[in-house]
Amino acid sequence: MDRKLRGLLRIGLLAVVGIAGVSLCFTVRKGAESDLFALIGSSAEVAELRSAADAMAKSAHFLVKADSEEAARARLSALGIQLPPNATKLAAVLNALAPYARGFLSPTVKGQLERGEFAAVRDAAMARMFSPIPPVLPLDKDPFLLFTDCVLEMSAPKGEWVMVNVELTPAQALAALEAVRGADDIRCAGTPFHTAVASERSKREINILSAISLFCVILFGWLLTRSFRFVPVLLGALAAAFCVAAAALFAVFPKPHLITFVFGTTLIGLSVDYVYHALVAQRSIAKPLTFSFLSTAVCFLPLLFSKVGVLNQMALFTLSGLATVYVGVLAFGRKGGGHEESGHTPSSLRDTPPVSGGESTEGPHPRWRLAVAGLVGMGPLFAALFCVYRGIIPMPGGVDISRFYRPDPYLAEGERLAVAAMGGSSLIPSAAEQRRNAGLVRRLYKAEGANLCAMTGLPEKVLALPAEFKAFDPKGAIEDLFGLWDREARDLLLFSFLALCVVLAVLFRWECVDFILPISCAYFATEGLLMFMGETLNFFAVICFFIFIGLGLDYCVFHWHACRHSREVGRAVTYSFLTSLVAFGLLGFTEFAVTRLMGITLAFGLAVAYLAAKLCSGVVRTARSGTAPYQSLSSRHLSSISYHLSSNSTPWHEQSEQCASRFWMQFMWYSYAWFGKTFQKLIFLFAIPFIYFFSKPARVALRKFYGVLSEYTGKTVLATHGRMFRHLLGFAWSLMDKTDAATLKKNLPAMAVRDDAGWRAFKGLVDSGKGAFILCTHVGTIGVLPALANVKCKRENVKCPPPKVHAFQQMGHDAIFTRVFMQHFDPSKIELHAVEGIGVETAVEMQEAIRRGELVIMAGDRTSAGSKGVLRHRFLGRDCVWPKGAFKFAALMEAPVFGVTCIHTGWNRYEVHVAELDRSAPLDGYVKFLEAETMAHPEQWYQFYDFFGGGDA
Amino acid sequence: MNLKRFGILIACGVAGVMMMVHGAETPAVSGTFVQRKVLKDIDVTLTSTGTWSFEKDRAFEWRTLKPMPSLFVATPTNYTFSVGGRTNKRSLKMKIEDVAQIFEIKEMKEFVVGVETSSEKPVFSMEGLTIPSALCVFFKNGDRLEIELKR
Repeated sequence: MDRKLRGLLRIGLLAVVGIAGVSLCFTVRKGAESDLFALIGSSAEVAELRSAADAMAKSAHFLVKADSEEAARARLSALGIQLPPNATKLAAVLNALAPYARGFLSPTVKGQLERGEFAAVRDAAMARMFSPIPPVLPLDKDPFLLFTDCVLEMSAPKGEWVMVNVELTPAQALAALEAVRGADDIRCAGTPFHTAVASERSKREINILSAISLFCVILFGWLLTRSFRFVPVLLGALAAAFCVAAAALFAVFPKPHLITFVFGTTLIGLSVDYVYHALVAQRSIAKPLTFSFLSTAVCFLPLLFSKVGVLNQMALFTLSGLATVYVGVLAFGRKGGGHEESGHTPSSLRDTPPVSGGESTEGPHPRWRLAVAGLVGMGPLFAALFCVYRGIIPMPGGVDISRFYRPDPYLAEGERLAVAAMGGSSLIPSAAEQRRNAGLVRRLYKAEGANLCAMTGLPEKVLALPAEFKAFDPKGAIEDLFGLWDREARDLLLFSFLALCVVLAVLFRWECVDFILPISCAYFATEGLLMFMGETLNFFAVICFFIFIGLGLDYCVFHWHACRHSREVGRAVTYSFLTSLVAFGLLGFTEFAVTRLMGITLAFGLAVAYLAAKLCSGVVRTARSGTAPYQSLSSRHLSSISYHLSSNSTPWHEQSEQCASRFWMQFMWYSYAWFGKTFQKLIFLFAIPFIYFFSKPARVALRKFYGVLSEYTGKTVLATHGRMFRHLLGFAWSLMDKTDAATLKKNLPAMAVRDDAGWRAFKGLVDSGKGAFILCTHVGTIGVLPALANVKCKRENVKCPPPKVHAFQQMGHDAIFTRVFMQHFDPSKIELHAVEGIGVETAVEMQEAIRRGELVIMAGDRTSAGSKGVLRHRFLGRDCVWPKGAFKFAALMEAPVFGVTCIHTGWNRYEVHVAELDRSAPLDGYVKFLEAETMAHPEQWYQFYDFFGGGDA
Repeated sequence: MNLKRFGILIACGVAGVMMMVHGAETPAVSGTFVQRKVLKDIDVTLTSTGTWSFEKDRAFEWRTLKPMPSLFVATPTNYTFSVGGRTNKRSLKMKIEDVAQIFEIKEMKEFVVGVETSSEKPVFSMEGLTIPSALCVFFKNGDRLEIELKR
């Protein structure tokens, strides 16, 4: 970045932060809104709910087992509870309920109305009217005094529990609760107690979670940077972000809500990611940072236009905070190198070449990665849909705010006793009950209204009833509001996603798929998780979706950058992910259902987004570049299968590598390296059915082999599926034995030798320090021969350095296996040579090696690719071709020639068979040796092509 | 002297002494009332009549007879209100020694602004106990209760 520009940015940022700080000093005096009702707007409906809520907010109840209220109060005083002198302002509560009075009936009156005893109700109303008792509501609103009757009957003490109603603040309620908890004859109920308990619980959780989060931020920051110098940088960034964000909020909104700061502060933690990247980058990260910020901005921008006030505030707070950190990193972060310094910027990102060519194509094949990403993304959703379809889990229902709060069991029991003390019905009947009551009241008015007016002189206008009765249903009203919020939030999420797709497509063209796929995976997987949890995509969950989609895009952008430019950025992504995972995931351990749901949703969504970002990084680029050295099984194998249907005479070196991919090979390698050869063999059992199914050419070749063998020996050996399955499994396991013997040697097989003339001749030669030329076979596993030396030395406890071995192998064919094998091959005792590179120099070199006492091994039963000359010799009654080069080489070495094979004799056991061959006619001896071994051990014939056909070169 | 007349004299004397003795310890007073409840919002006055009785430290009784019967009884520990065959009972934390004190009961006083009593010609006045001849109760909703007491 241009020095002048950086300077301007620094000055600008400092100025903005300064102005924000000064502005905040004045605006913060307005204070933040803490009333939760302010979140849901200021309509007339909300105003009524609010007045009722305000009236009930301080209404606390003690349930005491006593004979009278005096006795109950005395008991409470004895426990040290200071009961305020003022009684509950019942009038305030009742006035708040006045608009809904028709829904309230005492059980006695309700029973009378249901039985049609309207006259009795009228008479009781008149008697009360003419008594000195004042009505709860004016007579023009409640001419039959039904509400008065309901309140009087409800508040009459019933049963052994006496209710003492008082007004308490949450602090007073908490103190009282601590005094009475444990007493068998006292319970508590009412809003102040719930508020006190929830508040204490939240404070405790916040303290613990904050401590853990802070520890993790410092730990991950130290792990990433290996110093604590990142702490002041991080604190500075967060302070500047908070300052600017808060100033923006107070400037735009008259009284922002406190909950915005709670969410916003969590979201500003995203800026930790920017700081991490800035600290570890060796070169400028302006581009990826810009894309990351842009994508987050596009993600959150739609929230600015939401009808839900708190979402507008959260979006403004988050965007202004993140923008501050973004500019800060650009202004104060590490300077760029290379073309950035020179001022030349590539016109398109696609033009920017990767630092190490071909590295982006390393790693598991793109299709495997896409398959895993798809499984991770869609798996949970499909599983959940399946479970819903089968009735294993219920279909998530609509909004139910009662699930948001689970009361303390002690308080829940108190609420139950309070209802019982009020005669079995709570002060507020359900909405349905209120509507039924209102219907009964309408019938009463119709039956006796005129009579009441005539007898009392009340004007008939008092009997006027509104057409529709509105029940007092704060739960339903809030749920309706949340339902509206849910729908709007989901619409905004969809809009945000579409906008992101457009922006990403413009910026990255086809590579935008690398970014869209991971966030789609995270979206669908988290939807599936919510279904398993019985939750819908409600308002709070949608907020979480915004967050992890924004963060997921960050991971994608920086992974993309890491692939192209700098690997250290990948570590920063990992630690950023871990920081966010801990910070949000800890919310999953809170008691409050809403924050717990958000924590679980965020942690899961982030994990899937991170994993999918890693898997999908660079897949489109790899696919479009065409540099796919590892073709998938399906593409190569299908073409090879279709070829073999017409002709099964493809030479072995032109056959496809069955079921191999870099990812699979690496997986198998690490299984062996971490857990041992036995574990590797066992997990391979899960793969072999798949491999067997797709190995048609191998099966065809084996059928022919067994047919030829049967014909030659005269004994029928059927090539059943079981036999062929075991055959292929044995081969696969032999490869693992071979790999172990040549690499880590974790579990070398028990080696034995067939003590015959051939072995004795070979041993004598080796012991005397002389070299030999060995023709190996593809019966058995010659690859485990190095284990013989290790085992022999250990057994005989002698220092017997085995001779160095020069082995020739076709390097081009088994590309994937060979490459993985060579990565871990121990070259100390074996030197591999490519068959393709044999020349005059090689012959001379090998002669020298044999003279030094070293061994040279070549396969005598496979013609190499590109080899023009072959020898012909009958084998098992069929004319077969043999590699001319190997036998000519044997002749050139002027050394003893042996045929060697290692036959598998049991679990992790091999026996070495050696036969000395006539140097003048090695092919005859070799074929004879091979026939004997093949007939003795046909299941270890590891030639999976048409050995007997005319396809050999 | 006629023996019958002597017996009557003795009985009156004993009754007079008894009255004097009991009157000094627990005065029992009773009478009638006329109550007018003025409903401000709908401009309607509800008039009822009945009887009242008061016995110090025992009970205060307010019995509405017309047009619809109801009964309010307060003892030193509780009060009851009976109407239409249903009785609501509450505990009482105060002594009711005056009709005005009915409106200071916890369940009532939230609705009451104030009570004015007439000091002219009280119906009963003895040993600190005064029962006025008229009182007016003002409610928070604008209604008022006008009561005339007679003995």
